[in-house]
Amino acid sequence: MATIDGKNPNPIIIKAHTSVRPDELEQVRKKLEVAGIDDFDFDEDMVYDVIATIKDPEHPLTLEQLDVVKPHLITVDNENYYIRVEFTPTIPNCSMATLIGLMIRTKLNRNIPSKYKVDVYIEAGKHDQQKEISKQLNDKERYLAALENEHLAGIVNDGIQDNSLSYR
Amino acid sequence: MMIEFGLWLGTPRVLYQHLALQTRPLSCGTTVLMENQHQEQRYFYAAILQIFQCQLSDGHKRTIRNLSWNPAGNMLASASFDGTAGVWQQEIPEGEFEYLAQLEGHESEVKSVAWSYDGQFLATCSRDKTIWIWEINDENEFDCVAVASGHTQDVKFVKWHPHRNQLFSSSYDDTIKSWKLEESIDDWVCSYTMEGHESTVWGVDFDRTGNYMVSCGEDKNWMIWKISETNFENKGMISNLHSRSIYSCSWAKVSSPGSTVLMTDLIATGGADNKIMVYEINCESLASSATGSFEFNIVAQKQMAHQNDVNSVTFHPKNPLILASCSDDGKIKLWKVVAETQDQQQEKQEQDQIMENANYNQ
Repeated sequence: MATIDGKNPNPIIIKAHTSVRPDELEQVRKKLEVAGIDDFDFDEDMVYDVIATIKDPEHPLTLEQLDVVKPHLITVDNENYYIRVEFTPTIPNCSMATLIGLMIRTKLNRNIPSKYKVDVYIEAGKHDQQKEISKQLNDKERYLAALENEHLAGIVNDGIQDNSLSYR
Repeated sequence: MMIEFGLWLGTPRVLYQHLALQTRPLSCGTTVLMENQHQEQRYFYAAILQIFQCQLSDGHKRTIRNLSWNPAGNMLASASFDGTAGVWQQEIPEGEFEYLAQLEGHESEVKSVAWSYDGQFLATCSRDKTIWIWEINDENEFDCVAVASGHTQDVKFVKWHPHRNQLFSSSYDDTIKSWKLEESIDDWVCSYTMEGHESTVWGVDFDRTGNYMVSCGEDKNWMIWKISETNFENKGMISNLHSRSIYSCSWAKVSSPGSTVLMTDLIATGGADNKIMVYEINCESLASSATGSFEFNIVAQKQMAHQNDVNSVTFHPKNPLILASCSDDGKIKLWKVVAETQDQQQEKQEQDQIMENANYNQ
């Protein structure tokens, strides 16, 4: 399914749902107001809620609708406060993979308590440069420098603006 | 054991600038640390505060990633994501630091900067994969004397040998390279490439003799190397003591007094697991043992030394039992490495103090 220019004109769109546990969203928000975000433990569903609404840089669709993020590819370890997210580019030579990873990392950094350590990887076997891009995404220095690039920061901010499913 | 005895809080505005920390050479040497901790803290902090003040008015446009003092302690070099390096000078002791020179030339973020042992050279490295070597002349002007290429990815860190003009660089390409001036062609060339780390090498430091080097990296490992001008030997890799990337390592420049092993050196590491570790290296085992092994003890480990990634650890230049660290939590901390008994004593004293206060309140 790879294309020459690394773009995917016809992505498969899955039906979007609102939240893994919509009834809990308000409840959690209220609890957070009282307890403060840093005392709160997140689970896989809550992490999924935070990243599901990120907009794809190529299409007017969310990462959830494009099946780029999936609940079963998220791991939360609340003993060591560690979150690992794997994502799946729609095509194996997707030129936007690094940007999507940047968005996921940034949205998590801004919406998840700072006690959590976050790693973002491309799902094994789902991209031609899976190893290279994963290394780049998890290099803190490169990540911070990328966000100081106004152009990149603009695209990232546009993509992660929607906070309807986030907890703060 | 480690006791925290100093703390400096950054403001949110300078939060990300706490990526770098380097102790200033204390040329006066009169300060007795244990007797006058406050004065000592002032030395650590003075320049940091001043560089931030300069930065806010007329310095770098983006994050300052790394800092380096010249051997005399009157000049401070800075590396910035804005693609330039800066040199700041303090003309009179205790005076203001003034912006002396801006070093331009790199194509992208400058990651690290380092002065040579004699203060003659300054090295800068960048995401553009090159290392630039600058020479300072009598008029305090900086001329680029070499652009060293060889790394295949970003160069993350540079550090000069403590006794000779030999430069070491570590990179995203998982290697460390040694560079020297080749007189016959009047250019700087790579003398050897050290492979062993499994990912980005974040930092290196040297022991006081300059015969050994410690390195640390994204692979969560740290290693000791025997080094010379022309050759190197891998003395062993230590794994599983940090659970995330090790961003910084420091080798105390004086032999520590009162340690359990006859001849020891202290090494400290800090990383993305918020932890600081201090190890006691058996120098005899280092000198005598075969490739790939040496003896060490863990002297101290502080699990939550900071609330976030530890970006830099550095020993005091004259007292090996004092350590400074900085973190993404916006804090700079000073630590004292103490023997177990002394620590217990302090704990008892603190408890006594609490009791005393409690009595007073009654």
